[in-house]
Amino acid sequence: MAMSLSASDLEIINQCLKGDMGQFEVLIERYKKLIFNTAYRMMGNKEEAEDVSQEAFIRIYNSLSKYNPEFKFATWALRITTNLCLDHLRKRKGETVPIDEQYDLGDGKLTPEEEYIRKEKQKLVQNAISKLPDKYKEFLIMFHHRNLSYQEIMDITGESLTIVKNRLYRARQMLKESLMNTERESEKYAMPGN
Amino acid sequence: MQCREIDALVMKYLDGNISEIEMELIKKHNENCASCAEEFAVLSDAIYTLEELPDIEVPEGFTARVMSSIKEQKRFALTPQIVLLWIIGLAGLAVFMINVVMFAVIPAIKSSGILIAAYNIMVYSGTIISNAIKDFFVFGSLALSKLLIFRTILLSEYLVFVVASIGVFIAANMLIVRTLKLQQKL
Repeated sequence: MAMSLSASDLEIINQCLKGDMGQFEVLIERYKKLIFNTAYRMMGNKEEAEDVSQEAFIRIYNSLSKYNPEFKFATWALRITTNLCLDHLRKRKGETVPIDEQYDLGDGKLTPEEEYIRKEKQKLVQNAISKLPDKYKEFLIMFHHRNLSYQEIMDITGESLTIVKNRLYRARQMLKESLMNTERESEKYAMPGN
Repeated sequence: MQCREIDALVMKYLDGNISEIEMELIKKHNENCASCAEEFAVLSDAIYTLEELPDIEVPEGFTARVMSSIKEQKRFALTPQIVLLWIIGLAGLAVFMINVVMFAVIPAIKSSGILIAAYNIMVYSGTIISNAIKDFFVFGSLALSKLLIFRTILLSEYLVFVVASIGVFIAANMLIVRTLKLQQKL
C-alpha cells in the first residue's frame, strides 16, 4: 500500500500485474461505490447487489491483464458488472425477489409530507424499472441513473449508437406506459363506483 | 405539430440536448393536448426521480471481503507453475506405476500360476465349443446324404409305381369333377 492514492488507474493496474496484489485495494476503494450502486439499481436489493459486485471485482482482478487502456477503467469495470447483473437476472427468471425499501435519509429540506411523497414516487419508479426487460433496464440505469454518455454506454455494451438510442427510447416508453398503468389502476381503486 | 413529433422532442429533452425553441414547441403542444401533457409529466417526473435516486452506502467490510476472496482463490488458482508441478507429479506417478506393473505385478502373476490356470480354462472351454460345432456339421451332412440316397432309390426302383399312383390320383379327381358337374346339370 505504499503507492499514493493519487496514482492513476493504469499505474495501479500495472503494479497489480507485477504481483503487488495489495494495490488492487486502491482500485476497489475508488470504484466500489459506482459498481455497487449500479448493481443495486439493476438487481433491486442489497444482498444480490453485494454478491454481484464482489464477483465483479474478482473477475476484474482475474482479467486485469486483458484491460485495454484505450477505455476508461470505469467503463471496463461497468461492462463486467452489467454483464454479471444480466447473467444473474437471467438465472433468477421466474423467481420473485424482494425490492428493497429506499435507503434514503433525505436532506432535511423537505417537510415530512413532501418526504413521504418523494419516497412513494421513488418506490413507484424503482418498481416500474424492476419490471422492465433486463436489456432495457440496463440502458435506462446507465444513462439516467449513472449519467453515462452515449459513447460510454456504447463502450460498455459494445452496441452501436443506433441500438443504444433505440433501446433508451423503448425503455422510456415502457417506463411511461408502466407508470401510467399503475396510475390508472390506483385511480380505479381510489374511486370505486366511478 | 403531430403528437409523434412531440414524442421525438421529448426524447431529445430527456437526452439533455434540446434547444429553447424545441422546448417551446413541446409546451405549446401540451397546452392543447391533454394526453401528451400527461405523458410528458409522468415520464419527465419518473426520469427525474431516477436521476435523483440516492446512491447507497457500500456495505461495511466490502473491500476486505473482496480482497480475502481474491487471496483465497489465489491459493487454489491454476498458475502455470502449479500446472507444471501437477504434470511433473503425474508423469512421475505414471513411470512408477509402469515399473510396478512390469517388475512386480507381472512376475507375481507368472509365478502364482494364475496365467496357466486361465490358459487351461480357455483351452478346455474352447474344445467344448469347437466339438459342438464339429458335431453339428457331421450330423447335418450325414442326414443330408441319407435323404439324397432315399430320393435316388425312390426314383430308380419305384418309378413305375410313383408314376402310376400319380396317374390314378389324377384320374380319380377327374372322375369326381365330372360326376359333380353332371349332378349340377340335373
